[in-house]
Order: sequence, then C-alpha cells, then structure tokens
Amino acid sequence: MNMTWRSYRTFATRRYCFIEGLIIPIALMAFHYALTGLIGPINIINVSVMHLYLLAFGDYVTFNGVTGKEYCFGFLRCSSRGEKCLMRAVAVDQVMRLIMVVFTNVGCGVVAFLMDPADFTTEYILLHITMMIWVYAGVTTTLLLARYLTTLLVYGAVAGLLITVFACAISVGIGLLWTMGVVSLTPWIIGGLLLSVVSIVASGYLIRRNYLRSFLEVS
Amino acid sequence: MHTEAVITCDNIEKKYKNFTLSVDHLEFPKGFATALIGENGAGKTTLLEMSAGLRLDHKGSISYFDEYSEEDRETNPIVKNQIGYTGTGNYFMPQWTLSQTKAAQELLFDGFDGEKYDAILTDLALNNGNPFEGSKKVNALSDGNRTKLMLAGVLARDTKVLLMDEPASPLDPLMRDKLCTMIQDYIASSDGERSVIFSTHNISDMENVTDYAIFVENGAVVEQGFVEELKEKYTYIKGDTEDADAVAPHLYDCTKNKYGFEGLCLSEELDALAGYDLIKETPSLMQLSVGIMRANTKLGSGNR
Repeated sequence: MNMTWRSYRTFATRRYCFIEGLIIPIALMAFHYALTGLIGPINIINVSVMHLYLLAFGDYVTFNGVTGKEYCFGFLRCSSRGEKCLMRAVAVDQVMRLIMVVFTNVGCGVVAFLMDPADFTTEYILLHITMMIWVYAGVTTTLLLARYLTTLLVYGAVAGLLITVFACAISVGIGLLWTMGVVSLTPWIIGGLLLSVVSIVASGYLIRRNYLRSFLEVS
Repeated sequence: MHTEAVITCDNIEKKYKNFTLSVDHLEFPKGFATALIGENGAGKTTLLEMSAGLRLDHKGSISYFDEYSEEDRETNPIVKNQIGYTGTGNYFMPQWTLSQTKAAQELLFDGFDGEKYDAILTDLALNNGNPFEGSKKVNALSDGNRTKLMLAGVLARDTKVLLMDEPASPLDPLMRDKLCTMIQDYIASSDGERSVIFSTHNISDMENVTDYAIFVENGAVVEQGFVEELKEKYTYIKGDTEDADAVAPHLYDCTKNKYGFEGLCLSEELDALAGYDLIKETPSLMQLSVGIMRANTKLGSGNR
C-alpha cells in the first residue's frame, strides 16, 4: 500500500493533493451553501459543472501528456519498477478522483440537507448520485484526449471544449429535462456508469501502451 | 591487454529509415572508463540506449557482467539496478519538483542513498540549503543543472556501470573537470568492479579520464582500443606541402593547407616515410579522434 501511495505521490505533489483534495471541495461546499438558499438543492448541478472544470484542469500538473508520444518516460524506463510505478500511480489517481468527487458531492448534500431537510427529498439524493457519476465519467473521458496535449493553451481549449459538452449534457440533459419531468435519472446513471468504466479501462490501456511504445521505434 | 567485459554486444543491428547501426561484436571493458566517439548521428546514442535497455527493438544480443542476458535485464531487477543511465533528453518529468525527483528515485531504485544524493547535490551547488529548494521545478533548471541532477541520481545509487550520453556537453569547463574527477572516483571506489561508458564530443576535456575509446562512424565501429595502445598504433605526421602528394598515400588520414599537411599514419607504415622531412608525434586523443573520424566520414572532403 505504501509503495502504491508513494507511486501516486511521485506524480501528485503535496500542493496538488491539498488544493484538489481539500481546498476545492471546501470552496465548492461554501458555494453550494451560498446558492442553495437562493435556488435550492438543484444548485448541485452548478457545483458539478464547476467541479468538472477544476478536476480536468488539475490533471495538467500531474499526468499531463502521459499518453502523448513526446512524454519523457526516460527515468521510469531505467528502472525495472518503472511500469509498475506508473500504472499504480494512474490507478490511485482514478481512485483519488472518485474520492474527491464523492467527498465534494456528499459534502454538498449534507450542506443542503442541514439548510432545509424538508426540501432535500429522495429525488435529490438520486440527483446527487447521478451528478457524482457524471462528473467522474466526464473528467475521465475528457482526460482520455486531453492527456495527449502538452501545450497549456491547446490543453485548455480542447479540455475546455470537451468539458463544456459534458456541462451542457448535465445542465440541460439532466438538470432541465429532469426538473421538467421529461426524463428519468435511471438511464443517465446507467450511461454514466458505463462511460466511467470504459474511460477508466481505456485510460489504463492507452497509458500502458504509450509506455511500452517508448521502448520501440518505427524501423 | 585482455580484460573482462562489463557489457558485450553481439550481432547488433538496428535499422532506421536512412541509417543502420551494425555491430558484429563489441566488448566494453570492465573497470575502465570507455568513451564512445563519433560524428553526430553515428549511432552512439542508439548504442548506449540499447545497452541501457531503453531501446528494445533491435537484432542481436547484449549481455551484462558476463552473466545476464537482455531477458534477464527485463525480468531480474538486479540488472537494471546495477546500470545507471544519464541521457540528453528529458530524463525527469519537466514538471516535477526536485523533491519529487528524489522521492521517485527512492521508490524506483534499490540502494538509492538519499543522504548521499543530497550531499552530491550540495557538492554540485544545486542544493544551497534553502528550505524552498525542493519545490523548484526541473524545467526551471538549466541544461547543465539538469545534467548535474541526473549525475547526482546515478552516483547516489549502488551501480556497477554508468552509461552516460554526452554528459559533458551542457557542463561548464569547471564542472567538466569535476565530472572527470567524479568518474575517476567512481571507478576507483570499487577495486575494478565499476565501469563507465560515455559518449562525448568534448574529447579534450574528457581525455584525462578516458581509458578505452570506441570510434563509431556511420553505424559501425571503425576503431577501438585502449588509448595508450592506440597512441602507439598511430603516429601523428606533419610535413611541408611539397611532400604532401608523395606521403599522402601512406597516411591513414591527411589534411592539407597552403602551409603543409598533417595527419595520422599507422606506426607500422612509418618505414615507408623514411627520407621525407617530417615531424612525427604521439597523437593526442583529440588528434586520433579527428583523424579516425575524418578517414571514415561521409562529410564533404574539404581539404583532404
């Protein structure tokens, strides 16, 4: 376990863990507290969209470029533990991101419940679960492409665009249509879970393939 | 001189689009500092990367310490732990901090000595005791300081061979001198068990530390040997312009200008030059290198 955590910390600095794991969730909970009084627990949609952006851009300082051809695995390749270290770090990164999403979402749920228990109905619990899944699925799917990009400007543009697609899906597809009673949350939950699984598997596969490719050259 | 080999290459072939590295048999002697010398694109980096296990798609075989094969290198952690490699590109992730580089090396290499690493960094003036130094990013360092960081990393490990690609190029003259001392100390610290293999274009600066030289040109090893033996094998010749045409066919390499000619001659050919007014000298490693490279280059002939 220690080796696995240390592998992750090789890529994720203390500052990153502190900001993404603590400061951002607390800030989002405070934001949720401020707006829930005005628009009710539905504000979790706004929080989720913001969290999507913050998580995707946070990855720029950890695994940026890891699936790109120019990524410098040089140092990892010199050790027999290089591949194991990288893949463990990637796995922990996925788990940590999930924990950050769940922590933020549950925290916001608690805030909304404490503010007005009567208003926080079972339907909103289901909405929170849907949001959790879609924030996670949205980030991991975006990173599948964004991790090919190393230039901050290009990264920002492409990741921003992809996140915006997810943000629209969440705010319109779930937020608007669900509140209007047009759609049920169940298909969204199933779809989000499927997308999460596919993107997690694809992410691991692409990173490992790029690492192994770095030992080879087209002859 | 017969020596054991630290790394042996057999029937190595690596093809690129316009270039093929082909080495029938090559032994890097154990307990010595070996310089890989050659033109840009001659195949030095490819050879070093293959030896370090960073390039896997090649024909032929490489063995380590007369004991391990390439397969062992990939399956037995002992082998890679005993090989220290420093390259020219981005060795550490550019966005990493100095603290992360240390943590990563502690994680990845058995026998990595963190205290020794800090001591080397201090010795190389990369660590000045500033409490925020650990948060400095690798991409904020100059090329020279990145090389120092790599050197500190490999020297803080318990290795048997160091493979260094152009370690001297980004360094200032003072640091090049220190690099030579570090290489000598590394080899001397192990009673003949430790070896260093490095590629270099800074031949004059590295001459003091070079025991064995391997000349690579156009993807092939064209000459190799202990430097002292090579200095006996070749003689450096200088002469006047009027003798140039008569002497040139006997020289291994010759360059002419309006004041005269100079070049390398195989010492066994010296008898053929009797009767000419020539200056004969023991060549420096630099003169040997230029002569051997010029005799095998594909560069335009110029003054030859």
